[in-house]
Amino acid sequence: MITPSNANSGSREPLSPPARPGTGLLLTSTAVGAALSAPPAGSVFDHAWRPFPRAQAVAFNLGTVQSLAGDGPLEPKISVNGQLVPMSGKDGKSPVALALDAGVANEDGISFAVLEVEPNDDGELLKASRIEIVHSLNTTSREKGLGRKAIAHLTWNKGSVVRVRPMVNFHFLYVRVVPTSGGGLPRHFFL
Amino acid sequence: MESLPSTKWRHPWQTSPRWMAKAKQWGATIEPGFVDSLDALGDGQVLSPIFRATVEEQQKAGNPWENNPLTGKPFFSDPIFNQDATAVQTREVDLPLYLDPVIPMTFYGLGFDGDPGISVPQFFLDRGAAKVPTLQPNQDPNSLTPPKNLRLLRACDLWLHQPRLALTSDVELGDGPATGQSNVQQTLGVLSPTAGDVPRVLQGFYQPVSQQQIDALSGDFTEINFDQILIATVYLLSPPNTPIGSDPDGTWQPFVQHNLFWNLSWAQPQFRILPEDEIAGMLPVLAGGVAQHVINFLSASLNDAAQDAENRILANSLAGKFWTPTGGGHIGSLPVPAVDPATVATGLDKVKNAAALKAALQVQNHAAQLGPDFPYNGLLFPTAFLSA
Repeated sequence: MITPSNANSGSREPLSPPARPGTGLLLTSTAVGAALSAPPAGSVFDHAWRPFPRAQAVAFNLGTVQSLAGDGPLEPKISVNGQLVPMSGKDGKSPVALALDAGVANEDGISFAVLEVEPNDDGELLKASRIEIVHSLNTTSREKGLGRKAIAHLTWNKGSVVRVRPMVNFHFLYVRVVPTSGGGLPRHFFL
Repeated sequence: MESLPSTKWRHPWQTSPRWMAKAKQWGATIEPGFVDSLDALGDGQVLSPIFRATVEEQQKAGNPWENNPLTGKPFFSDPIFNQDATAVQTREVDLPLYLDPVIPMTFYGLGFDGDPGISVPQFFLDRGAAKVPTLQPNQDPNSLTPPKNLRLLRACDLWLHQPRLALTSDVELGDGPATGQSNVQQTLGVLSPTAGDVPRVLQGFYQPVSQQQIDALSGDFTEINFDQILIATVYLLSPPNTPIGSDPDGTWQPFVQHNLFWNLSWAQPQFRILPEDEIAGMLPVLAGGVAQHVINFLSASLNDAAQDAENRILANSLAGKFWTPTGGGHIGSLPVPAVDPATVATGLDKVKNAAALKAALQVQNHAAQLGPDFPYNGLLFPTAFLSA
């Protein structure tokens, strides 16, 4: 949009272009030059489990998990100074951050935020079940009483997290399958 | 001057093609996707697939290959690599998608001057491409006159290759003890993936590999030891009146048709020891004799044994399945149309008629698009995995 210079106004400043909606480029030509502006690229999908990097920590949008016949949906907890706190914060509005340890990353500079669940003997998750988000390299489990699901991918460089990528976008339905014949390991599915 | 307008959310596996002027080739980058895998023996891992490339290839694609973003040191800065520069250039390196490798693409033709066996999406027919014309008997294809303002079409598929354990079956027909009767014995086993094979992205012409026809009694049978799934197809549309048979260059217009939109989970059925009652049925005793009715009985028993063996192969197949974790949804197409367009009515309920017509138009619009709108499609969870 070309801004009128309004030469008849003498020493008056050029008029600023009116604010206008749009997703394209805005070219403003004034008496003092041209300016090019653009809105930030990319819209946002504010999904469940979406990670937000903090200083040596990462916070998450609320995500929930429930089993077929258990309680739920259940909110995971994060350990903060040794105390388990709901991930959305004690007030439900201030997400707590998962503290990150650079020593956990592997030789490729990769680590994960992992959701861990401890179902009961029937494979169900109840309100009293341990459901926690931890910083770990272990993303699977062979144990009947422990299920794991990676929810964020962390890239490290020189002791700092340089990139956090979400690995999941939806709340979970958890199902455990224990073989009844022929051997085999328990399987934990996060659907 | 170049800038990007506001774009949609970049989903996992989102493919972005671009013309690489230095390499004079089209390349693609893929937004990192992750596969949470669980194999038949209970081993699991979470990986972003890699793209296997050479240093020389990536340099041509514009990847400067200066510093490793993870270590901060120059790639191949170890003194051992300085002894042979050629070896460094041709060395193959596995680049995870989160390092943004550029994937050089090779295209196949479809449409007017392409493979007649490949159908042309309506989306491109609406934009000036044309189907392969029907030739008259003995007509020279080179004699065809392209329609005015014809736009040529090329495509390149990008797919995910997932190595896996595979089922093997070894069937032996042998003489039985003392009685001279024959026994049929089938041994099921597990074959490892090919050494060095890893989850990776491949490009070219995607042809799903079909399992060889099962001839269970012919001896050894081995399943294919990988699964594959299409990520996206990159199409290039030429400017109008481009000469027939031209190779794509920077003047062609790219389009992407995605097949994957969400991070994936993948699993194989568990490999387990067969229960006794299943094993017992696999040893039909075949009578040796000269009478016709006995020979017919032998043939029938062999057929039964063959079918038995084939059934066991199918029942214990280790073919893996991909799915999208969506919280236990039972449908893969999102969003669900509010009204079934098949029920477009002409009755007295005007509100219902209008809603049905709207849904029908939406379906029609979607059919003319190259891909679904957000929230896209997901892959359904194979409920057979829930069997204990």
